[in-house]
Amino acid sequence: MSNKQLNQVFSVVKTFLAIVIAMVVAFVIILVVSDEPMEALYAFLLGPFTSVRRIGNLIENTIPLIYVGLGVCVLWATGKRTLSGEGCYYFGGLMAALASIKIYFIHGKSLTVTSMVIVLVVCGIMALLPMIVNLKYGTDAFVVSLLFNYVMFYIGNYIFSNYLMDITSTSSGSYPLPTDSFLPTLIPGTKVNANLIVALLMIVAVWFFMYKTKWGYSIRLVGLNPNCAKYVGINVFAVCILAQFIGGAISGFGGGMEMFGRNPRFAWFSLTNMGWDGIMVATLAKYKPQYILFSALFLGYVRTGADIMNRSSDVASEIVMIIQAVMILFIGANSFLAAMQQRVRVKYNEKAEKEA
Amino acid sequence: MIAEAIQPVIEMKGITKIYPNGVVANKDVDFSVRPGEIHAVMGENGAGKSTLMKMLFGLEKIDKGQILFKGNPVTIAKPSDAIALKIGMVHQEFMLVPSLTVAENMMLREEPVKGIFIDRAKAVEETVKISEKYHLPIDPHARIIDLPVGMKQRVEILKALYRGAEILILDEPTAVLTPQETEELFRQLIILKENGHTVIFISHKIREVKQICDRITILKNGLSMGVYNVKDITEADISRLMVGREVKMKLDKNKAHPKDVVLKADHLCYGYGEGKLKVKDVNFTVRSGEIVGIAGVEGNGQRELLEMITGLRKIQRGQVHISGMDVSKMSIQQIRDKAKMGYIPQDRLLFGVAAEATIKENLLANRLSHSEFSKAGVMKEKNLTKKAKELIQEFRIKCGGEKQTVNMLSGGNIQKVVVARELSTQRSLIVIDQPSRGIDVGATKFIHEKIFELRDADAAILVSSADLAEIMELSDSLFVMYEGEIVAYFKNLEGVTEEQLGEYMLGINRQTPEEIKEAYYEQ
Amino acid sequence: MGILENIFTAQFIYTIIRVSTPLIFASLSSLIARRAGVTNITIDSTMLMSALTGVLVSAFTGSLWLALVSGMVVGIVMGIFMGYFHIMMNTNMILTGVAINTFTNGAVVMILYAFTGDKGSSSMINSLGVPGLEIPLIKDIPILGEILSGHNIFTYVAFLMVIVVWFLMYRMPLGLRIRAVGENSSAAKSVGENPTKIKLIALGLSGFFASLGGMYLSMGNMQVFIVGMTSSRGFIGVAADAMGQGNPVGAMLASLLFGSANAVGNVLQINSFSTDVVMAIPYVVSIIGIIVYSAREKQKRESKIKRAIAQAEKLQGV
Repeated sequence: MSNKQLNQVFSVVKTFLAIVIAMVVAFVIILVVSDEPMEALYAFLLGPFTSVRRIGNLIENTIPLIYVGLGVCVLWATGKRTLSGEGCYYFGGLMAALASIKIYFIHGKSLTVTSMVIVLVVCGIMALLPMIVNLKYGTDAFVVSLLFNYVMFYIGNYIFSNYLMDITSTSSGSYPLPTDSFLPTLIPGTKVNANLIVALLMIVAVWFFMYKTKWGYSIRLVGLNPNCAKYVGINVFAVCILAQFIGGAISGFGGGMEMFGRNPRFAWFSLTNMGWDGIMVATLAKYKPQYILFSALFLGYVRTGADIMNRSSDVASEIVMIIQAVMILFIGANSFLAAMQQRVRVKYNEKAEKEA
Repeated sequence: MIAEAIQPVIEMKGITKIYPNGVVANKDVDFSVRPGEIHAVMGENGAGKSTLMKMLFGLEKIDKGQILFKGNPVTIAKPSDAIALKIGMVHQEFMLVPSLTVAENMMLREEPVKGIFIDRAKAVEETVKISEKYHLPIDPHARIIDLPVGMKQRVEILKALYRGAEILILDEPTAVLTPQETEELFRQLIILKENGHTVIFISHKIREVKQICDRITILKNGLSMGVYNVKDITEADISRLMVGREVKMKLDKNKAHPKDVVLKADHLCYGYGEGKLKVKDVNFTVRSGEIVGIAGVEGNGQRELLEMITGLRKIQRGQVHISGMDVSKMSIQQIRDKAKMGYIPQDRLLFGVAAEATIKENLLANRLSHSEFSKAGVMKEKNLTKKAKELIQEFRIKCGGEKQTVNMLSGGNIQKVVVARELSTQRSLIVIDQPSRGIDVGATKFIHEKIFELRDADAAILVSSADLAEIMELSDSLFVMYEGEIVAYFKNLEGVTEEQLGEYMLGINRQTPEEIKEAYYEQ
Repeated sequence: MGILENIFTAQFIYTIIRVSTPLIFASLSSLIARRAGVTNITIDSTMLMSALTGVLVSAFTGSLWLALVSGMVVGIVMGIFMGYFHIMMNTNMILTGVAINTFTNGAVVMILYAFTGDKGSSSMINSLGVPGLEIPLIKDIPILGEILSGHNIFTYVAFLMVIVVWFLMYRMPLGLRIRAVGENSSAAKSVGENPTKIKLIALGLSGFFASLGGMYLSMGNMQVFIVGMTSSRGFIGVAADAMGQGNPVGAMLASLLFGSANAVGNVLQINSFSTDVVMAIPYVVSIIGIIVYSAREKQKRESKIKRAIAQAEKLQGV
């Protein structure tokens, strides 16, 4: 076994172990907190599969995670890690609602498409500020993006409160979005719509962009060694801006698509935390678009299970956050199992010698 | 005095170390040092000398083997263990804190205290005391960031001595020193030896080792090739053991036939607003078909000069023209593509390659936009792979295929990846900074030959090297930089000696303005 | 009262000082960590966790001291825990921060729910608070008295800590070692220092200061814990530290600046400005603050160069 293969095997083992440890921690918490742990566990683990509607929930929960996960893959590819996905996802939802409610001269699916184009452009642009100031003045990209998310939220909330809020209806939220702009439902009895297909296509598109085009390659090279990229003549500034634009646009797209079918009205009264979830999904997928589907599905499954458990037992759904946290911690821990890996490496080297 | 009867003060037995990337740094190496000797550890880069000594100082972990100190097995898991055994190490990259003063660096972790506060006056006093004891004058109040290289090394040595080091490990100490500073260092080492200190001297410079050391341990590819008394072994022997074949010390070179001026540097200045100028009114030209060398101790403005020429640093004053084009009006990509400039930077791993990217990706990073390799943004995989394979073969890069990541290669082969990338397209001007730094004799020879080849094909070549022997070997003509200025120019190197150049490099000597003006060829 | 009339009063300056208190703690927390070479983005979470701990312990044990100590312990432990994963398990700081942030957001709700049955705030239980302090003599000075006296004890502690941290970093061995480890950990290693140990100590201290900031919110400023009550002040603290250039006094001044933005926002709100605009002000000011500061630094360097070149040219008669 070559050293590279050894590293790959250990990488998979580490990810697997991280998930296992996280689930064990969750089980322990459930056991401690709940008066009926077995029922809670059943709801958590098997709940998502117990009805068509619940399977639908699972898929519905997974789809936005795909988008934010892809968003982070691109946003973080240059090595400058921002949290812009969070603000952009929210703002995408808002812009989609704003566009579809206020643009009265376009109808139907054309309205959907128009709104989403607006979302892509606006969210892409909104994601740029933290990166621009980082590149020009050296400010901390993460901190500025995090602070700017709040600014984005308050701008959005202002628009929401003053232009979109439907005070007449009993359920709080915006005016209802035009139903003829909704995406066609795929699975009857659920809210799973054509968004699923679009999300899958988005995975392919992002993978292709990152690995088969020169822009994607430039982005990755800047992430691997920005100095080398500069020396080789790549315009690092432009590349970082591009990555941020596309990552923000994808995140916003994820938020916007939630409006056309899944949510009849816009009712996000705070930042959704999807940005943080996107980081989780992307990290679990090792920042590779081709694995996003699986990590999004896993997190969607955990999410859905926790929601079901929350409703049918006494364990709060916030337990998902603890699971996520433990997973990220162990996956991100590069030294996790490093000692063991080194011992195996030495042993393999000796064996190779003996056989030679 | 029977050599075998003297008990070694340090013995390393059966040492093996493997890095996470699979590279075997040391394999079953035995090493021993006798008290009071100056012992060299020699080998090419990647041979494992630095790693071996870092394990002795506790900076790296041993995978297999043991260390004996005065006959007793010891564990050195961290530097404080080594320091407790009175071992001190002076590293290649200085281990000093830039914003703190000399005294603060010296006293770090041994700070004299007044109550809960640091006794700053005492710290200064102690620093002065130790510097006087060993006749190594130093200013305790100076901030490290303001000190020249030779002084920084001195602080490093004093730091080790202050902590009671009886055994001193020096890692490539002369890499950054002029010939005169090297002589000074050797003088000090001999004084230390006479005072009973033991010195371990890591180097790949055969001549220096022959001059000052008692015994040599030679490493090659992580293995020990044996221990020898310096008196009993010739330079050719040492070279053979290090590399495994007779390496010609001098390469054959055709005569140069320079033609048109390709690179023009006019009144270049850099360093405004920071006190002393780093580059002061530098004027020179490089013509096609000639190799112009820049000699000088590191830190005299060479780096800033080269970066201004290659577009990586803003030109503060003056102008640079490549084939008539004004560099200050061009982006880096334009300089490379339109002005056809190739650049091999000094820090290969830091700036030349993306270590975690594949060899293929690194080799072709500079030509992604070429129509041969991409269309409408989409990359043409087949062409890329073919070209990568070609380059690997042409430049004899020792690797496991183009899909291997660069960080798995040895230093010399990483060098070759950068060289292959930069030199494989038609270039009018090639700028090379420290061509052979940190790479072995074999790879160096290859690169030198490549440089001559390109020169003969009418490329204009500008080389900067702190290795005097190398720059003399490579250059057709050269100029010496000292404190940001050109202080000497030699149209050819007949009759010029290393000692002469050393004097210019240290600022002891200086040519007349008329002689220096000759560096600028008026077409 | 009109807006301007509201601003030029002693009351307003008093408010600035009050509102800046948690920011000062947060910025000191960030400073110590950053000097050791670690950009601590878990400050906000630590503040939140300590805020909850203080409230719960004081409510269930009735002891203010025990509550304060528990909060501090939680802060220190969180700092060290973060350090363990970031340094010893080699986890990227942002991932560590994300993990701890996510964990805290979830854990805080679960713990609150478990102990009070409420998922939003601790208003169902009675927790204790740290009182304010009227300073004798000073409180009678016109205007100055209004500004300086009557603050919560935490506020006075905050300013005291600025001085303490200054002495720590520049006059004490631990501070020197922290700076050495932060600037060049190899240098520290070469003299036998254990950079990991120093970093963990620094992070423990960082967590300590963060805990003070958090407990001020739930036990000084108010006597209740509310989910999300830090409002990302931990991150504004990081911004303040960045603006202060790693110097405790600078961090304090930057914190006061951001605090004034907060105070202005409160005034505007009274004068019926939109809530959203008001809430956004501190964040906008923080962002602008960091940008302006970095931009000015850059411009200062560039104009210095330009002036030197111009001078040289004049001398040479070019």
